[in-house]
Amino acid sequence: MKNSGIGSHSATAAIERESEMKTIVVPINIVNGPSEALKFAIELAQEWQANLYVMYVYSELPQVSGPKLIHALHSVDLDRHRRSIDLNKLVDRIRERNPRTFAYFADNDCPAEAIQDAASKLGADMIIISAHKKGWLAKLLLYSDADDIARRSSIPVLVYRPKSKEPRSAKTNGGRELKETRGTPTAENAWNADLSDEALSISRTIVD
Amino acid sequence: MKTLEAEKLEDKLASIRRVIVAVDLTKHSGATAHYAAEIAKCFNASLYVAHVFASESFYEFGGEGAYNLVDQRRQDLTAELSDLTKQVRKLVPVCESVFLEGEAAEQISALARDVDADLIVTASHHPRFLGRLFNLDKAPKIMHRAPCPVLVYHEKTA
Repeated sequence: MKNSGIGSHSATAAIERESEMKTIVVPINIVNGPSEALKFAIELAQEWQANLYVMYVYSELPQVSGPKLIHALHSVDLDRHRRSIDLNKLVDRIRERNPRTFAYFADNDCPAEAIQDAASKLGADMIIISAHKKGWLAKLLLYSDADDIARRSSIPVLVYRPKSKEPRSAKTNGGRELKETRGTPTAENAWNADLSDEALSISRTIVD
Repeated sequence: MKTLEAEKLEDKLASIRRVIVAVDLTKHSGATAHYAAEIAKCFNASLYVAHVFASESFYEFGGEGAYNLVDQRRQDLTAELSDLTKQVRKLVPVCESVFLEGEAAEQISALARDVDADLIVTASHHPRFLGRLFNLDKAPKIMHRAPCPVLVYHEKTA
């Protein structure tokens, strides 16, 4: 039996909307709490009405063997469990603002590989990662986790770096004048501060 | 008094207001520029379509006609950049082309500082081992030098 015209049209529209719906994967280090990259990802997800997957890759597997392994595994299990709880707590907090937020926990020695796998499985449209401060050797070799992820990825990768505070010239190459019109404190900033407090408490839990 | 809606809009606009898309004017540039335009449109941001012309490589082989060749190449690329900007302007009305000369990562970073860019969009075309060895892919260099977030675009393969 055929569906009615209106029903099938709305179903098609819903399918189209679903297929157009974007998915963002944002890997974080739960030990450090929510990063600027995560805040940026939340904002972008809200703007796009996208699904946001907050991902944590547990890669701290024990480097022991033989009789010591049985003791190491217990502490790993506990540590892993704590981080999983912390990730879910953080996601619950984000969900108040962006309901389409989900936690994604993965175990892998190579975070870049795990992130790429997750992005493929979820059909992600973008990966958002933080650019970390690097040592001189990493700088010399132009290598970081972000590079690794950007190189492996088959989808767009946004490497988030807070805007530089360096002074800049008053005019552009084209001679246009630029005006500084940064935002004033808003409810959003207050929420971010709140989120950071949450992160501090999570970090404390981990330390304890 | 500001309404809540107005405040919300202001918050959104405060995030990404100026986007730079760095293109190498190869066959992939159209897709990269359109992707950047979609993002700029989403945030009501202005867009700068930038190309960096590495003129030094031509001067190294400087002969009689080298300068003419460089000039000709520069004019061709400027025209191509202008065409690309026109296409993108259909999506983002506040859009302009920027033609620069020198080292790509350095020039793009300097432009980002000058225009106080909130996002740089560039592309990486999956360089192979030799490409990486000879530094042919500019995206990692831009990523390392940029004063703001960098979005590395990978064109979806069928």
